[in-house]
Amino acid sequence: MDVSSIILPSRLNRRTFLKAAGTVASAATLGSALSACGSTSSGGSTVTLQYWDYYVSQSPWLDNEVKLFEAAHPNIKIKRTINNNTTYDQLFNLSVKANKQPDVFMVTGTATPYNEQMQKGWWLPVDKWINATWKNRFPTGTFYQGNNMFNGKTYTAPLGGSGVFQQLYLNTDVFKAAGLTNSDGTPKVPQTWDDVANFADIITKKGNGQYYGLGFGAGGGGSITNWVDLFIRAAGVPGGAFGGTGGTWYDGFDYRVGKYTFSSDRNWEDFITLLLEWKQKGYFYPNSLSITDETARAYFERGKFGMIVGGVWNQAEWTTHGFTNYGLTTLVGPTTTRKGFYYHTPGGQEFAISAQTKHPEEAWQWFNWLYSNESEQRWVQTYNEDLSIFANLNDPSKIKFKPFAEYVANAPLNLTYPNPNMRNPETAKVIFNSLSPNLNDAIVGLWTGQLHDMKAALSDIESRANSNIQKGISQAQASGVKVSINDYTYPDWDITKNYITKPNQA
Amino acid sequence: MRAQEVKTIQPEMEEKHVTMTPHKKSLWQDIYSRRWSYLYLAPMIILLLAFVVYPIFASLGYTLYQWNGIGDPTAYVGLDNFQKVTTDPIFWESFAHTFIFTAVVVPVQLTLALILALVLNSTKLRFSTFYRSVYFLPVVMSPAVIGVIMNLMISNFGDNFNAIFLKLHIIHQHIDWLADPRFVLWIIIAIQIWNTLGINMVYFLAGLQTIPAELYEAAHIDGAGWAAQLFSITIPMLRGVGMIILFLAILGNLNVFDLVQVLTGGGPYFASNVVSTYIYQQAFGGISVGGSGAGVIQPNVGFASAASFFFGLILIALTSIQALGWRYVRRNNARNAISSTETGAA
Repeated sequence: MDVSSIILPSRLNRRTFLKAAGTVASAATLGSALSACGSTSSGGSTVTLQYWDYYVSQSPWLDNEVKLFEAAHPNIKIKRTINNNTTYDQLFNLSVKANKQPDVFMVTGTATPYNEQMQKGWWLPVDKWINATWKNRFPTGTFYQGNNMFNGKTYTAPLGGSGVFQQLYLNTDVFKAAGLTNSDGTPKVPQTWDDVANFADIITKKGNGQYYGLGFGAGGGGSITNWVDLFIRAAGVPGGAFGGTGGTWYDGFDYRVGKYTFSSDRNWEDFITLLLEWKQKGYFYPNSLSITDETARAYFERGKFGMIVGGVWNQAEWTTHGFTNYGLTTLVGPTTTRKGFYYHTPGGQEFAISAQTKHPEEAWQWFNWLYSNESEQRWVQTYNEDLSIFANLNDPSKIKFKPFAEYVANAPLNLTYPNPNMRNPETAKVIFNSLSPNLNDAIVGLWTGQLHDMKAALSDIESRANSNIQKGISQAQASGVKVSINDYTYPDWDITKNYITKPNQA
Repeated sequence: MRAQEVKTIQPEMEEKHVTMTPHKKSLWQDIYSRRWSYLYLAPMIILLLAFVVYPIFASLGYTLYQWNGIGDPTAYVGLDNFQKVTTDPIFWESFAHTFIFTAVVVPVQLTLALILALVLNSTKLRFSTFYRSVYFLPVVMSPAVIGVIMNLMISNFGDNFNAIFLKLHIIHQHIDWLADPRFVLWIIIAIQIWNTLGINMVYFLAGLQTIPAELYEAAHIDGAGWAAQLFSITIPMLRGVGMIILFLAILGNLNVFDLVQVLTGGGPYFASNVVSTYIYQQAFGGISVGGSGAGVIQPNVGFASAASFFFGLILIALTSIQALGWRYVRRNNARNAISSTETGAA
């Protein structure tokens, strides 16, 4: 079979769709901000709630929930505004400034941290409606001060569970063409770095310039760091590498020692050397650094290469194109034993009610509906959006679509890890600046040959990243915040087990 | 009016001036008397004040803060942002790219635009309107759209380009053109030349059409050839409009942003970063939605403002040097012209 001849269905790609949706949504938001601005209107006995989010790929689920909720509550209408996720933070802050918040909204905390929003009284506490039974549905440790609670009051809760962030997807047709399938026709799953190299070698040779073993799209994003992230974690690097072009300050941070270890942990150099070797041997699709992630996903779908790293969101896009013939794995390390995993902190935030709402009872009903078992069940089992925060709903046997069921089955590979915010809520006031050049930049520099000395490059990033952490803490201390590097250091953390962070008694 | 009449009228006016008290208008009276002129100017002045002057002064204040662009700035850092900008090698690298970009695009583009304008200005050329439209067409497209299309062509169809070049033995191995630091800036330069060639061509065409045809007829009668007419009539007569075109082209290219941002985002590893994309990255590049809540990465509008202001200062300094240079050249030329006239007279 000529794999490269698989034709991509002519549909809008996701980025194009998101952009278009974003533009329309921004316009709609501006319009509503200028007219209704989060206020509710009532016609007769019907209350209309203003509701904001920035769900795009999750829209089918949310729209269905609106429909079901309105059917169950004929006296409440939901006026939903979908926002562009890149401008949502600013729009929300502007709505607060103008005192025109929506009644219920998806929370955002980039510009104004969540605890500050709770402290400033932007959100309505939901304690008058919830009880222990309501809270006990969530995993242990979900609710705590500074995260979704403030001064003993509860304001929000997480919606989705923490799954495995990145998968290595395997194109079944490409694997089949290279003779890398099992007897049941599924692609052979690489277990180690060597397996990946061997499979890539076989596919690339078989492809003879028509298709390749590996591919990514780093144009306009940090996909190259996603590769490093998936392979390096299993080698025992708990901080991972995701988020090279922006990300969060704790990408690459090792809580065991309270610092970054890009040059002192040999795994970094080992894997990046291997990555460059794969490039040198021609295993990667040659335009990977300049094509976008969206194009790379489409090329994977068309069989231009056999393996790509990506998140669960890829599945929804491929499904809309009718492409379901692929397998997946995750956390591939140098040996078959995984020494490190994906990690998350308990807690989380998704929706909140405005403190300014004129219809708190109706707003609570909508808020509660979104966190109901039934709604969460539809989220994970019907619409396959992501994991549910309620672990009992994350049952692979109840999910029809096999790749998503595999993703759900991998959920135990995401463990809980140290949470400075739990140990010392004051850490929420520490501001860390972004790093430039960052890890992603350095890897790109090494890939293109602009940087020749890997040790020097990693050492430079490690030293600047550690200085950045120290600077952030020092600045916070200077303004009276009681924090120290000890809040970020957990020598007792075993990275192969869940870690429960205890509040700092001092 | 004949000379005699002038002489007769002049004494009368002088007499009147002696007898009449000169009527000096106040500022308000002066403005009122020209109220329509000011009214027509007002919208542009208001827009200029709101969107050019105010942001310049507002951003000057922000340079002293670490500020994420939302709410009021509170974290005062003094001149720290300026110190960081001036010692940041990536800023200076971006600065160098900006100048290479401008230094290559402006002369190549203006020369090509002038040649095209001369060709298309010819009355003997048939379908010249059609050709003008063809060359002007890229100008009406947004640089962002051009960036997207070019990216698609160069990256996504890069296989085909590579296959052709490999077959012709122009290259010996596959090249990821937009991810190769040896080529990326030059590719952007080539696209910019193509993209904005048409507008300069139109400017030159407009300038060419202001040159009286009689001058060429006279030169032709005097036996001047094509080259002599070009260098003795066309180019000197285009000097005024040419200076404006040059000034606009330099400014436009120093501030190039959208094409670079869409095509490469300044990469790979800053190989095509220009000052505008550097400022953009500083102002918005660190935004991250989500996180554990234990600290956030902030965009730094304060730093970006400092970089922008510092770049502005450098541009003002360079423009001043350029202006002084032009003045020196003009004076020198005038002095030489006078001395050569005196020598000729002697």
